[in-house]
Amino acid sequence: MSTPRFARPTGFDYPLLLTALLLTALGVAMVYSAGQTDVPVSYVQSAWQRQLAWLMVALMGAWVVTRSSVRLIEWAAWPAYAGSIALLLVTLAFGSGAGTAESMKGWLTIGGVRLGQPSELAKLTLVLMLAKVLAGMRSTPRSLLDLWKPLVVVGVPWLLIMAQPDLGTGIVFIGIAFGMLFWAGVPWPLLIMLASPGVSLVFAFSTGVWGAWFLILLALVFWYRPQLVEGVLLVIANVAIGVVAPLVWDKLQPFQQRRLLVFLDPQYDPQRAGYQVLQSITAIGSGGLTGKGFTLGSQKRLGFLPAHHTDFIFSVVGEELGFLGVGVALGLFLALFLRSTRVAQRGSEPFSSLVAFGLATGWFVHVVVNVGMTLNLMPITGIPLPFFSYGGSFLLASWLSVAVLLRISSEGRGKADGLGL
Amino acid sequence: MLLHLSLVVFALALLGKAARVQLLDGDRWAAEAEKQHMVVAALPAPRGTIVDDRGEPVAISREVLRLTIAPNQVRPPSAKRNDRDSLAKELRALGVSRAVIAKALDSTRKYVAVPGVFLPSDARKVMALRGVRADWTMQRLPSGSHGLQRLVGALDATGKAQSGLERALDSLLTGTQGERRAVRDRRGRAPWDSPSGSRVNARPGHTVQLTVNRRLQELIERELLDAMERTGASGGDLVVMDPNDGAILALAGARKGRIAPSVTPLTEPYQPGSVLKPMFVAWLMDQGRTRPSEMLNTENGSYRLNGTTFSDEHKEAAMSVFDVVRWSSNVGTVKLVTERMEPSEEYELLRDYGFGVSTGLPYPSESRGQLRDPSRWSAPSAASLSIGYELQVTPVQLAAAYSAIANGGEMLEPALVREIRTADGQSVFRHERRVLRRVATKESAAEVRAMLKAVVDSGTGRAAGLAAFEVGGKSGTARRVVNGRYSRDDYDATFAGMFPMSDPQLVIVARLIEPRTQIFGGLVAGPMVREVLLGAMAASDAALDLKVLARVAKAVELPSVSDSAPPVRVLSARDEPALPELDAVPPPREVAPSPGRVVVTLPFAAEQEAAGPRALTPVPSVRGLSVREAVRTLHAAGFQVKLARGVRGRTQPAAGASAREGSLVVLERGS
Repeated sequence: MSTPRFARPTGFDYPLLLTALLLTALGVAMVYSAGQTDVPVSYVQSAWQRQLAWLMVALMGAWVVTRSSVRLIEWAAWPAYAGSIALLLVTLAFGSGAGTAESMKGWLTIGGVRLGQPSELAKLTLVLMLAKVLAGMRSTPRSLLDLWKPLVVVGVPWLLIMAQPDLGTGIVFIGIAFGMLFWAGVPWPLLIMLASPGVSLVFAFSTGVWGAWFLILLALVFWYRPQLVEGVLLVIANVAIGVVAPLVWDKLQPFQQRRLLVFLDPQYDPQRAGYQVLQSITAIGSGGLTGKGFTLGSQKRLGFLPAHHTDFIFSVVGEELGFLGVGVALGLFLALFLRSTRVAQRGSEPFSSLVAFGLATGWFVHVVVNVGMTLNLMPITGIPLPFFSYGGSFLLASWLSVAVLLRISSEGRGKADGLGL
Repeated sequence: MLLHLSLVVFALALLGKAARVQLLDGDRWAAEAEKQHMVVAALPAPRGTIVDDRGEPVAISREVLRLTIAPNQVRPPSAKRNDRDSLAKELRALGVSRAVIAKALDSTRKYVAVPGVFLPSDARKVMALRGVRADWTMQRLPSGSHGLQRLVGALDATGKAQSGLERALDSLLTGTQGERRAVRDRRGRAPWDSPSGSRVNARPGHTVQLTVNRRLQELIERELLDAMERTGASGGDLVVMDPNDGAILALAGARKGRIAPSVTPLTEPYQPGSVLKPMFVAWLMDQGRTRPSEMLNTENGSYRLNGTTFSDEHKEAAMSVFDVVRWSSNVGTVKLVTERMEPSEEYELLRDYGFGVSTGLPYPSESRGQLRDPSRWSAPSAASLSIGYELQVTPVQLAAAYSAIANGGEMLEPALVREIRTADGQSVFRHERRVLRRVATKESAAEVRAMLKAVVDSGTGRAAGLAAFEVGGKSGTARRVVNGRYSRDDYDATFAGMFPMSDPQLVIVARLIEPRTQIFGGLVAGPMVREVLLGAMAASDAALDLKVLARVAKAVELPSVSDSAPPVRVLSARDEPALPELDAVPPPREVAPSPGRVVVTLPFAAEQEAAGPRALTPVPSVRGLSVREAVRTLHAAGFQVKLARGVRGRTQPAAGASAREGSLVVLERGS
């Protein structure tokens, strides 16, 4: 079935733009609502105005990006990547915490003025750089050693971000890395083996679970038969991590420990991190089908809902707009993912396809982790919701991403896939 | 394709969880949310005010605060402010004891309840401090005399009605509690103007207006104590009733050696003695079985019937029925009743006058007295009942019975409550004159009133007489039952009087228990009636219609102010030793030189009409002020001030209570 012509204006991906605009409009509205509380906090009250100002900047930046070409973007990947690494280094030296994320140094602060979060831009530059590296690989990697280049590209900024420490962004980086490796055609046993130390780390808390996982890993290693040295190292690494994990646990920040524990048991320390989960789910649940009405969420108004303009803004959506609002928001996100993966599928060459998929993966991790957190499906990781959470750098990065996608889409192959996307 | 499907699956997973939280468990979470941010506070309903027949408050409720302090929440001292010092200072100003203040500052404690209640105006500053919690409660402030407070009754510490009218009328006085559903924020601050708050105002209880007149009440209480002092009596009762509508205008009881827990004229029946005689005579006249002028053989004052000897103080061979009442002849009465009435008729007569029957007054522990059915009578019962023995009546029942004679023969429903109004003034009940039954014809009631007038003018009740007005009444002197036997030494002396005789406005029943100076009702209880009448006339608003009085004032032969003509004195001196009380009483000052009529000067009535009842003003709080400032404050509010020892800063009536402008406020200074 051929798609009607009027739905497909030549060259420009209007559905993607429209989806992004709708998400942003809804997001700014929710930031406005977040400021409407019975105990007004002037900083939060005026957040929507600053968000709008940032949106203007972001739209202008996006316009500039859509005017350039994919080649130019690919050329700029290296300098942008190097620049963001430099910014992350500067941030480590001069950074400060902010608002609901007081305990980490994620903001580039000069002369007491917070300019933004370099880690948000780093996500974009990481995607570009990784795409460039992966696109440059001649053959499908067969061993972990073949992956050293992309792993270094991810590892450097990842370490800098974990040093802030910003676990949420770190998770996004890992998500992006795995997503792009997968898209680049890295075989899945290799991906599992790559992830195995991390999985061991998580499973180390229960000897039984870790044991089962270890057996599966062994089976995989024997079946896939990587290089001997590599296989042996992998097994040793997993054993070491399974043993070392408890020691690492002690190294985690108390709030990180708490967050992980609360994920495992929401009743754990309900006064602190568990309080946030409980309040989030109380707010969302009390919204019911149709919600309490825009700006009228009582849990938000009375300060029961924590961080309601940033990490828990989705709880405000749930409380004020109800299940219908949640459905609309999730529907828009789904449309965004479907549209951007379509762009990836129809990319004219590896770089643009990888970039598109990397950007989609980044958003996807953000949405799943954030929404999952507000619904008590995921641990609390302090990760914002794209287009919704208050924060200028993230909005700017998101819109630059949209612009890159629009550019790639306009240069891509014009064939619809089976779904007509 | 697979990729898109997995994206859809993820989205559906999130949506599914949202559906579970919002749709399946939505109500539970909504309830949880409400629990977190809704504070449901009961708004106490002010209890209805009880006022006297002039509208002066007798019991009012005011909002007060109880304070609790969480010492560990009191802000620690900083450079700018020191909350601990402010707290100590404010508590001291409220008169809180040193020990409690020390506890309130002990930050190892979580919770310290400050004893007592405080006026909101006094506690405003301390309430503003962090760590201080104020709970509103209602405090009942009784005012008025001791006896009135006993009639009104009391509430317990939790505000539950315990006794008296408070208990009997509890459902009317209790208002409907309101509810304030306010939202609170996470830090517990409340309430906020939020769309989800609501408020249902409390509905105050009804205002109850009593028939009791505060002035008259104070008067009879004083008189009762005076009479007990005068006569050495161990107790007594006084009841004043309006015979035209059954309203009880005042009632007091006193017992030596105990604080009477209830209103004895309603709760303690006794054997009244001869005061019942006029009822029998009235009935016999109505039945045509006797006439006032009929002469009876009174057997020289001694008559034996069924093994019991009845004797008279005033001994005559023969007396008219009129004189039988005037001289309270036992022989005459016993003969009249036993020879001319069936026991059932006698019983029904007493029942008709309300004896042995509850009056229906709203008093919780009212006694209905005791009147036995004829089937349980013994041989002398018929005779004993005729002279007021073998039955028990309350003073209030007596007053109601005499009211029937006073108003021309109609037994009225007695009343303590004149009107009940909602808080906004709408009348929901008003006492109306309600005739229960006719117990005597107008004519025989008038005949009996003439006899009662003679009792005071020239018979056993002369001590009750007034120079300027015609007073009527009947005395009764009954032996008290001590250890199951009639005592030879202990008597109940009663005098039931009415006034003025041409158109009675007041019925007064006075009773003294075990008077020592004299035993006769006419001699010891009669003066009480007179004193009450004098006082009532002197008081401007003691329920007497002074204009009517001026019209009915009796002719007085000037310059004589004696209440009895000399021949009568001689007559009475014969069987009654002396009347020292009578001589000691100065003649009433109202006696005016107008020929034949006494004009009651009307400063009282005039004043009453010109000024009307003075406005009610709340007594200001003077807690924490110096004595000088306190006096100035009270003066400024229009009160007179008297200093007394006691708790510094306390006033009577208490701060917040309403009192008439110009009335006396007792200011207590530290001892």
